Amino acid sequence: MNIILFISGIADSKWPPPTLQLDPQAAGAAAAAPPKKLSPFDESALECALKIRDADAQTRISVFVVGAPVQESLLRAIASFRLDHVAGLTVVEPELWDARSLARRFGDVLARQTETIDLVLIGREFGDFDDGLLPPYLAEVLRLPFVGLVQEVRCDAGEWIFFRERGDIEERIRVRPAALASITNDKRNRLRFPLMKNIAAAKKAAFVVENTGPGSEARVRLLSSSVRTVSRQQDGCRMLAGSIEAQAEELSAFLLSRVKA
Amino acid sequence: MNDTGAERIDTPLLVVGGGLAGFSAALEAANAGVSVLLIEKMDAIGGSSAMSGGCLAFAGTDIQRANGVEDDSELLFRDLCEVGQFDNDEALVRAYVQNQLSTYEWLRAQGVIFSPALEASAGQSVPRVHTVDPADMVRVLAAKCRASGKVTVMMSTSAERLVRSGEGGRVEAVVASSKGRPIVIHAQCVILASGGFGRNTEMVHRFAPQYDNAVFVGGEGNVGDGLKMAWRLGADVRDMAYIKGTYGKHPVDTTNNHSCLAVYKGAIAVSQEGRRFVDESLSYKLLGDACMQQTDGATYQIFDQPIFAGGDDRVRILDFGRRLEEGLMYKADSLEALAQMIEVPFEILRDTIATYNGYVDAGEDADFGRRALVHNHGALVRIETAPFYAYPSTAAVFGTYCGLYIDADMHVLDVFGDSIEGLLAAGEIVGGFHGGAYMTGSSLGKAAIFGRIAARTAANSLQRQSQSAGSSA
Repeated sequence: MNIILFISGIADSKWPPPTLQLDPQAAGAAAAAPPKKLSPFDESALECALKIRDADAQTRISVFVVGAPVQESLLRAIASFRLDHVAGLTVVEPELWDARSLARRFGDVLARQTETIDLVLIGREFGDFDDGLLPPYLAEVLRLPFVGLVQEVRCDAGEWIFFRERGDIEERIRVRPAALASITNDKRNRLRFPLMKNIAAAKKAAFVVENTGPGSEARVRLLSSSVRTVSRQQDGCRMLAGSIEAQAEELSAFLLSRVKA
Repeated sequence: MNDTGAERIDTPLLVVGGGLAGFSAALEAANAGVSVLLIEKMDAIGGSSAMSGGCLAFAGTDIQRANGVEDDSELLFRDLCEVGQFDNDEALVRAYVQNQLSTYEWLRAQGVIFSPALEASAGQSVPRVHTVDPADMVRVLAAKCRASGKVTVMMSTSAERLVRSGEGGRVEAVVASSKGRPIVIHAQCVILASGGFGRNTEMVHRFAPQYDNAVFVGGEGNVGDGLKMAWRLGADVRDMAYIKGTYGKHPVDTTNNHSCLAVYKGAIAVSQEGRRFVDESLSYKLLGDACMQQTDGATYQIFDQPIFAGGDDRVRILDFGRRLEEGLMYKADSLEALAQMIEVPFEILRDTIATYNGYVDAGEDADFGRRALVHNHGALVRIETAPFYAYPSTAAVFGTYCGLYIDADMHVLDVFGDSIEGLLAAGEIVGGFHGGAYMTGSSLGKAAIFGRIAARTAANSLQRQSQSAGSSA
């Protein structure tokens, strides 16, 4: 089985955010790219793929790491899971906000793949920009059956079984390859730690980063920018006193006054 | 204000550093009636002490008696010398053992809570790991200091230079900076308890370049500033050649800073090629050295279900269950499946374990001479009952365990062996006590014990100065 993953990464909150410089004349906001890490959804998608490989050592996993620009540290972090192919895919930043355009671009990339694709996995939100629309758009572009919010994937008799929970019910969706699934995080797909030998190998790896061009298809462009006025919280803070009833009454009066305001 | 614009502060005793050694010293001095100023450069107390595994090595305690463990100061002394490869300063080891039991009682009297669990770990012939919540222990002592009314604590205040009264004279002041404001603290006595230098990459490289790629864990403030200040005054150092990482740290995980030591419960340590490389009963500092010589400085502890069940979730270094729960440990129903998970050649791993089990049966490890689970304690056990486990392990430098040359009263000595008057030291900043390797719990134990000794020395010195001033008047 050949599995393709698209990974975006999210800003690593351990680092201070970079200074954002808005330029109305430019096509996008100019900002130094913050250091990135895998999002919980990226991690879960990757772990789902690794579990499939655990069960069938013949499974091939290829990962496209998408960024504006692609960060080498993220490429190395992903390669440390001993994957068959890890490549970067550079897009321009406004395109990251435009799920439909991005889906078409990914479709173009996959159309150039020479090997049969059996499964495409993607986190349920594609990085900091996506609101969950990219996976179904991509399924539409690729003309693949789409299953969303998947927590586990297994291969059984040549077919995929996607597991997801709805309240108290676990759904099992059986789909013949090829298919596209968006993965949500769950304790059963918590990403394992990479082995040191593979981290060491990833440190020496070289990566191909494909530049997908200036983003002429992008539909979202920055037209103007302005500084947003943020209202300051004026209220003080104090502990309520008195009986429980008195405290409840005071709190309720306060909340009502805020609603009216 | 002095002529440099720095504010002047006067105190009988200045303690530099707010970890276990610093607060032990401050509280002991306060209890002796001495007014103390303690400065901590970080914005939180605790330092490396608070981040440690919370193990203290004591002998002859009620917890040991309740567990049927026979131990005393002499056995502790022998073990400390043996694990230190007889290259530690006997006077400092004596100072430790003579004050350890009273310090255990003292800590309890302050309100420090010890776990009833008792374990044997690196360098111990009998179980003597006494476990506390280390951050809580420092908080308890800090609270006692505040309650004494004799201790003032200044946070975000870093010492920068020691000032002597003329060439070769007594240390009489410390140039410091408090929240960016220059201050000069005049003190009749100064105790350096400012920790080691594990967070100073350049300084570690100077003494232990083989640890350039190791994982470093420890208080962020441990950059060797106290050491440098004393060096400038001609202080000598000890044990610098013995900087070592501690074995058992997960090489990738950044949320658990503590070592996991299944080897001391019977696990073997294997390289990524599946071969043993060391006598696993040695001190984990020596295991750390051996580990760093393996490929990528990374190895695995391999064990089976009975050994896993022998873990103890009350002792951080033996809490196997939590590591498994957090996905840090590998578990498989067969050795072959385990080997596949960790990408170690199965045939080699299988043969390694078979050979080791043969040594267990024969009572003799022909490859590395292992005779016990840890140090001289515990009989070896076969690794044979599924499920099997693997814990990825590298060496992490938790502390530098070396530093200032001191005498048994904690006076800092210069390169000619003369005392630098007015300057004492305690805790991780001192050298000479551990020697070639390290017993679990002796570092945290040393912090409390040596901190108290330093305080008593300071109190006596202050009393003499006072009497001298009185007779002069």
